[in-house]
Parts: sequence; structure tokens; C-alpha cells
Amino acid sequence: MRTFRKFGPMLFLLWLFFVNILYYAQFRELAVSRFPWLAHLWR
Amino acid sequence: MALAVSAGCAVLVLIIFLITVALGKHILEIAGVTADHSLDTVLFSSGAGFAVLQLLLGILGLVAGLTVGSVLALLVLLAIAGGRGWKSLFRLCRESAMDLSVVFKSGAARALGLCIFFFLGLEALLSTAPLTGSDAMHYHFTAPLVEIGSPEKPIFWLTHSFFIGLGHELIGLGLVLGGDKLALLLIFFGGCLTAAALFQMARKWMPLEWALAAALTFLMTPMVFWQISTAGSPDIWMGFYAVLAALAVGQADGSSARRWLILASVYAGAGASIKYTGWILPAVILLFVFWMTRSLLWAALCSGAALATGVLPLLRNFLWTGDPFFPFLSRWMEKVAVNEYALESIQADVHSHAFSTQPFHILYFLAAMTVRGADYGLGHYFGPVLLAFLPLLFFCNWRARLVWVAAALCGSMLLANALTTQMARFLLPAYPLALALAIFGAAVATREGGAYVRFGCVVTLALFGLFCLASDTLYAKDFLPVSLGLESKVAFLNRMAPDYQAATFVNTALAQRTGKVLIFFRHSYYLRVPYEDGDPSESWKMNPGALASPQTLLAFLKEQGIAWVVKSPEYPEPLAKVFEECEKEGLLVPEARTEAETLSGSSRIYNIRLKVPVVLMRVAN
Repeated sequence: MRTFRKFGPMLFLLWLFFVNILYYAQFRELAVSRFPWLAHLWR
Repeated sequence: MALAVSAGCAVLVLIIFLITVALGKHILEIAGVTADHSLDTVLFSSGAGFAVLQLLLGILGLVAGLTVGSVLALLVLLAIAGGRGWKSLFRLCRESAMDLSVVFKSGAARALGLCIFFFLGLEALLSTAPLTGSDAMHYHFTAPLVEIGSPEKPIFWLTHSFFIGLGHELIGLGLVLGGDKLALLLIFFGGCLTAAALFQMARKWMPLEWALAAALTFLMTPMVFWQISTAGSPDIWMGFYAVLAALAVGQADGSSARRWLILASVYAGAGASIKYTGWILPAVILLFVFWMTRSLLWAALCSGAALATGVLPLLRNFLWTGDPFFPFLSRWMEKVAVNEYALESIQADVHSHAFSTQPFHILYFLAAMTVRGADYGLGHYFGPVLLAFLPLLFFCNWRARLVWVAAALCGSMLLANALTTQMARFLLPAYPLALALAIFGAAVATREGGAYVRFGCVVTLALFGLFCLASDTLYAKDFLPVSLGLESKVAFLNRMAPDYQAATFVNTALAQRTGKVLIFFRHSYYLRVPYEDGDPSESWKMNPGALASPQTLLAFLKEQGIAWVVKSPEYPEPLAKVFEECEKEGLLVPEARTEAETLSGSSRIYNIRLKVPVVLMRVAN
């Protein structure tokens, strides 16, 4: 339990980081279709 | 002018709402149940009232047909039946207003309230734009429009019309009394009620600011924004009834416990009446009833209540086709000849293209529907909050019955979806329950989990808020000019409604001519001449196996009274050969032709436009 309390929040932050990155990354194609100039950001 | 018409429709929605609340309150008084909170009472009353209204509209539609006279008469009768409910109504409104002034006491609550007001206002404006949603123009609005004015009949040339539930009767009511604007506003109002029910559920578990954050997250989520404003689908009503069913089970304590369980079954039945997949709601509620009462008699009584409010669409389909879930069981029912091509097409239509029932894939679906949403029926429109806060469910108070009911309802809907369709879009009714649980977990975790957890939760919610603000306003940009009266309806429809130009061409070309027209384009809502859909993937009548030669096809067209065929852009693949042979043999004679612009691709947000030929053919005598 002590280990969980110690590392749990960090693990949760890591989880949030990956979920958010993976989630927003999937809109790349849609964003570029509406704003072609955005394509430069992913070069 | 556009704003004045919209305001008139909003007043009509308010009147319908007041009638349902008065009627529902009267029903609650007769049942002898009293909610803890005035806003709870308004929501429970409204839910009961709408459940009765949609059921009676369904019966009226089947027996006599929906007309201005019959619908107005029904509303007047229900208003009279509201009886003593009207007296309580004004007290409830006053108490609810006082309660809301308490809710928005703190600065944070007022800021969240402003954000809620902004998104609600935007959604209300968008819902006053003319109908352009693809599925709505295909069947959600088209089938009720075709049925208006006379007793409902099976429409075999539009297989999706058998999916019409009691939520579509509210669309029918809107179409009869105020056109698509009123019908869309009623759907928007269903969204408002769902958000209010979610807020009431959330405030039982967490501080007011968090409950408001849950309601705001719900309203700004792109899926909800789209579904309650422009999509024209009645699925949101199922979400409303699902939350009410959970709240009613949560209230079932003390002497009136069993009466609350009956009421929960009524809401679950009303939810099931919206679409086939809704039958998971009464199944779960009945398990809870049996678990709580240990009585087969009460389980049977609650089953009866759920069936009474929800079974009408299934009964109608059974009488018409022998299959209550037409066409999915038609292979075994054998009352209506099976169209294998149409059945396979419709089964493909309700499955995501990445569908698989391998155990690992089902687990993968649960995560992938959020981060690879395009493969799983637009799951990414729900946002990342549920997946991100999944580990925080551990912090929910699992001793509370309401938590268990909410979790069981959304868990069973999720599991049923994963096993049958893997179309995340169908999970809209589970979303308010899942969101309430996720935010509950976050609210407790931010208090107990320390600074890191608080930082992660707040950043995730704020990031999603900014994303929603950008994507929702960008989406709204195309609709606001017509809603505000700055653009004409025709110019807007030419720009935004798929197949509108083809439909207006057919309307003009056939205005003075007799005979039905066979069409192959999907969006037929704006057709104003007698027509049938000829696409074999959409029409149960068009069986490619039975229409193999020009002679059989011609005989079929004559038998159906079809005098015209519209080729746009090409004939559907399984019937292309036989139609082309008809053209060569002079059985189909070109009469008029045009080029129409239409939207293409999986979604109009990609803004892919195509010019397609539209050719009107006369069927030779």
C-alpha cells in the first residue's frame, strides 16, 4: 500500500500523458484537411 | 425572421415540457413516490410524462396517424390529465429556481455556469438550422415524414424504417407541429434534460463545482454537441431514461422502495423503446429488482411495467413482419421473404469495420475506441476523459447503490456493444452514466491523491475543454449564418445537405408528372414527389437475386407503380448490369439530366465535395 501511495500518482500522470498524446494525435489528418498549413508542424 | 420562428418553436417545446412535467407529477403522486429534491422531482416527472407522451403518440400513429388535429388533441388531453400536477408545477419551478441560485453561489460555480450557458446556447442555435444530418435525412426524419397523415404502414423500400422507435414519435410530433426545426429542438431539449439528470446524479456524490464540471464536460463533448444539435437522432432520449432509471433505483429505500423500482422499470422500458439495443436497460434493472426484493412477483410486475412502456415498436414489427427485431431475425421467422443482400448490407452497416469477437480484441476495443476512434464508429468524439480517468474509478464510493446501478448499466451497455457491433457511437446513452462515475473518481482522487493527481486531472479536463471549444465552434461556423437568419435556407441546404441538389432536381423535373420515382441516393428527406429507394442495400424490396433480367425488373417496376428512375451517380453495383441492359433495350429512356454537387466521404467535416451526374429516366410502356 505504501509503494502504491508512493508511485501511484506518478504512474497515473504517465498514464494521462500517454492517453492524451494518443488521443489528440489521431486528429492530425482532420486538422490538416481543414488547415493545410498545419502539415508543416509534423514534418 | 429565422430567429422569430426558432423562438416560436422554443415556446412550443417549453409548453410540451410543462405538459409532460404536470402529467408526470400527477403520475408520481398517484404512485405515492416523492423525490428528495425539487429538481429531481421535475426530472422524474418529465421522464414519466415524456414516456407516456411517446407511447400514446406511437399508438396514435399506428391507429389513426399523426396529424395536426390528432397531435393537438392528444396534447390537450394530456394537459387535462395532468390535473393536480399543474398546481405542484409552479411550486416545483420556484423551488428549482431557488436551488439553482444556491448552486451558483461560488465564483467557480458561476464560471462553470457561464461555460455551460455558452455551449447550451451554441447547441440551441445549431438545432434551429434546417436538417442536414446524414442518418436523419436517410431515415430518422424521413420515415416519420413519410408516415405522417395516415396510419403507419411498413416501408419495405426503407429497411431502416423498422428501426423506428418511440423516440421517433417525438420527431413525428415535431414535424407535424413545427417542421424539422421543432423536431430538432425537441432532441436538443432531450440533451438538456440528460445534462440536468447527470448533474443531479453527480451532486449526490461530489461537491457542486465538480458536478457542474461533469455537466459541462457532457455538453461540450463533440459527440454530445453533434448529437443534440444537428445530427437529428433521438438516441439522447435513451441516455435521459438510463440516468433516470439509475436515479430511481438509487431512491428505492424505505416504504416506497418497491414503487420506485416500478418507476425505474418504466424509465428502462421507455429507454428500450428508442432502439433495439436499449433492451439491455430493462434487463439490468430487472436484475437489480430481483436482487433487492428477492421476489419473482415484483420482478414480473417490473417486467410488465418495462414492457408496457417499451414493447410497442417490437410488437409493431412483429405484426408487420413476424420479426420483432426486423430484419435481424428474419432468417428464422420466415413470414417475410429474406433479402440476403439487404440483410448482409444492414449487418455490415451496424458493425465497425475493425469488428472482431476475439477475446483480446474485445479488450483492445475498450481502449482503442477512444484513441483509434475512426476505426470504431467515431469513438474519438467522446473525448479522452473516460479512458484517462479509468484508474480513478477505484476511488468511487462502491458502497453506494447508485454507483453500482450506474456502473452496471454502463458496463452492460459497453459489453453488449463490444460483443455485437463495436460501434462506439451507439454508446451515447451510456456516456452520461460513465462520465458521472469518472468525474466522481476524479473528485475524490484530487482530494486524497495529492498534488500530482490533482494537477493531472485538472490539466486533462482543461485541455479537453480547449479542444472542445475549438472543435465545437469550428463545427458551428457552418451552421450559424442560417440559424441567425444571415443565410437563406436554400443556400444553406445547397451547401450543407448531402444530395439536396439531386432531390431538388427530381422535385422540379417531376412536379407536373405522375408515377413514383425510383432513386439510388441515400438522403431522400427533401424529396417532395412520390418515390421509393432502389438501393438494394437500403431497400428490402430490391432483391438482386430476384431481379436478374430486364423483363423481371420491368415487371417489378410496373407492379410498384414506378414510372421514373433516377441514375445518380451510377446504378448500385449488384443491379448495375440489369439496369444498363434495360437502357440498351430502350426500356429506360433518358428524359432530363443535370450535374449536382454533393458531400462525399465518411464525414462532412472533411468537406470533400463532388460533382455527380443526375439522369432522370422514363420507364417505357
